[in-house]
Parts: sequence; structure tokens; C-alpha cells
Amino acid sequence: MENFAELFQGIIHLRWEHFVMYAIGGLLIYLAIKKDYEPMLLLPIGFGAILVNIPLKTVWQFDPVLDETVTALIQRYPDMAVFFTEKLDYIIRDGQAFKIEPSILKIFFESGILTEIFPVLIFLAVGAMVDFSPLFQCPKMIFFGAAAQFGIFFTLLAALFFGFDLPTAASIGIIGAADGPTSIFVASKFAKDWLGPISVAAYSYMSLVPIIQPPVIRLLTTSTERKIRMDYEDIKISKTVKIMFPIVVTIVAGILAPISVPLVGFLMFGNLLREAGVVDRLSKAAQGELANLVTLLLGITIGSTMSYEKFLCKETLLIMGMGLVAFIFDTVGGVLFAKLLNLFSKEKVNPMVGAAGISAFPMSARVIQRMAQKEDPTNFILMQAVSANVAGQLGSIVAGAMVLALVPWLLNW
Amino acid sequence: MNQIGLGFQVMAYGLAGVFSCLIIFFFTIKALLFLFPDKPEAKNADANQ
Repeated sequence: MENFAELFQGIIHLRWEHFVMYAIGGLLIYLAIKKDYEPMLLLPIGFGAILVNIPLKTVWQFDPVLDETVTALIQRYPDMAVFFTEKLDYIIRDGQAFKIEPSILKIFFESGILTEIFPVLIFLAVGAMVDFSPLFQCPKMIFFGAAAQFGIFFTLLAALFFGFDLPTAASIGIIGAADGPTSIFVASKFAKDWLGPISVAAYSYMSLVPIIQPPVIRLLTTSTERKIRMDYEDIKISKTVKIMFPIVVTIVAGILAPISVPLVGFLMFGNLLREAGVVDRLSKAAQGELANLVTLLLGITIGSTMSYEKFLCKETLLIMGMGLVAFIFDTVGGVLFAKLLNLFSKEKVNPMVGAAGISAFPMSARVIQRMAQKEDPTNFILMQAVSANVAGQLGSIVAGAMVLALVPWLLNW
Repeated sequence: MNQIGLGFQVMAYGLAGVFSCLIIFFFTIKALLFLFPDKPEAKNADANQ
């Protein structure tokens, strides 16, 4: 009879929490399909969340297997048990050592996320897609790419206030980078257990930028300010500049913040492939096949970190809430910085452009243009907003690098 | 309290770092635009050949 019951282990191990996670996974899939919210990521994340919450989690790991050699070893040298349990996926039961073999999604997680391969490859693909020309047209917009990172640091403080430790708070703050790979990169170093909620928050709020930013901008600006026009001069950019830029930025960023090299370096490598003009096949492969394949694996792997034991807790709700705070305060930082500049500058900046300094490209720039035209149908500030938006992509990576460098330094790791 | 203090330090150093880096990028762009301006006449000459 006992053997017969083994046939129905799935039913025996089913819990109500599994159904909650199916609902959450289903919601993400619904948002992806019906609302078109970041479908490339939310759909695989949603399905990954369902997969990993099937009872027994065979998609994550297999049943533990008795390892007689290790059992003999730890019986002779009990101190070694810690090494096997912490480093080599063993569990100790009644003095016996059991090896937990990883299944497909755990292999993806350990080889793709923990080693940083997936986020870095996404940066390569993003680099091949980004055109920095708008930034060369209006270089001063780069400052908004810095100001709009304010939400990261504000949210870090908020997370500390709610009792998270500094590395976890930093990972939560990085949701405000509005840049999925940067969030994943930082969280995989500082807060592996919260990778699921942090990634879901980052991608969900990125897709909600058209809903989050407008009320915040309206709250902080007057109608007159939103009508400010900005001159735009179309300057021809030489190919040499476009080729030199990724090389020089990699060297400069690498020297200033060596920890940023995997992020900035691969972003700029992708951009160099794009601008070189002689490796179109590589550039197209990075923009197409590579981006699609890594996005697919990244999404389902992130989803697989959402097992109910880790996801269904009050901390997840806090992380989701603070992600929203991060996006709001990014917008606040950008808009207020633009208003500050207007106090000292003869050439006024439309403060809404400051809000485009977040990395959510090109949604944020489009939102700003739409708002500007709502106030004055003849006002056209799209190019300035795009410049700020591209600067935000640089700013978010630099902010990620700063956090990665500062937290271990301050904690004396 | 100590954690909050560390948080403020990350904020101060972090924002300063981001601004510093992007200021350097700003001058990098300015320098590149100055050193390598677009030369339409060269393109035209190539086209005529």
C-alpha cells in the first residue's frame, strides 16, 4: 500500500501555497499576453514560477541520494559536514550524507545567474541595440541620467528602515535602476534569496512607467513648466566618434570603477559591434538570436527562483512596494534636478525631460513627449527626452557598479 | 542605526560617484565631438570619385 501511495506523491505533497503561486504565475502570464507588459520576460517568469511550484520541484532538483563515501568521511571527520552541506549541495540526515542532484532549472540558475553569464550577455545584446547618437546631439542631458538614479539610494534607505540588511537593501534599491539585467546582476551578488521578487518588481514597474511617471511629474511641475520648449539642433556625428565612444567609456569606467567592467564593458562591446559597420552579422546576432535566447533562459530561470517557501512572505510584498517607491523617487530626482538647473540657467529645460533620465528605454521618453504634446500640441521635446533616456542607461549601470563597490567596502568584506 | 548610517554613506558616495562618472562621460563626448567632427566634404569627395 505504501508503494502504491508513492505513485501519487504529487498529490500527497500538494499544498495551498502551490495554488497561490500558480495564481501569481498566471497573473504574470496574463499581464504579458493581455496587457503586453514586458511579455518577453513576464511570460517566461510566470511559467517558471508555475514550474518550480509543482510538488517535489523535480524541475529544480531531484530527490536526495545516499552517498556512502561522503557518509563514511563525515562520520570520521564530523567537521567536514559543514563543507559538504554549504558548498556541495549535501544534506545530512541521521548521520548520513545525501547528495542533492540539481535538475535543469537549478543548473541554469547556477551556471547562468550565479556566474553572471545571463545578465552580462543581455548587456551585450542591449549594447548592440542602443544608439547613442541622441546623447551626442544633446550631451548635457547626460546629467539627468545621473539625477534620475536618486530613487535607488532613497529606496536603499527605506529598505534599511524596514529592517533589511545593507546588501539586501542595496539590491532592493537597484530596482530603481529601471534596468532588469543590472537588478539581476546586483541581486545575484548580494541577495540571491530575493532574486525572484526583485526581478519581477524591476520588470513589472519598467512596463508600468507610462502609469507611474505622469502623476508624479504633474505633481511636481506647473502647466507653464510643462510647456517649456527646448531648442534642438541636428548635428551630424562622425563615425569615428561613434566608434571611439564605447572604447573610451569602457576604459574610463573601468579605471574609475573596476567592478563595473563586466557591465559597462559588455554593453560597450555590443555597441562597438553595432557602430563598427564591418561586423553586421555579429551585431545582428547579438540583437536577435543571442538576445532572444538569453532572454528566454533568463526569464524562466528567474521564475524558477519563485518557490513558495521564498516568495510567499511579507518581505516579498515589501520588496514589491519599495520597487514602486524606487521608480517614483527616480522620477522625483530627475524632475527636481531639472528645476534646480533652471534656477541657474538662461536656457530653460523642460523639467519633464529630467524624468526621462531613468533607464526604461524608450518608454520614458515617449511618455514625456506625450505629456508635452498634451500641454502644447506643437511642442516637440522627444529628442531631448531620448537623450536623457539613453543617458539613464549609462547612469543605471554606473549606479549599479557604485553599489557593488561601496557595500563591500563599507562592510569591510 | 549603524545600518542607516551606512545607508546614508552609500547614498552620498553613490550619488557623487554616479555624477562624477557621468560628468567625465560628458567631457569625453565633448572631446570626441571636438576631435572628430563630421566632415561632409570628405564624404562628397569620396562620392565624386
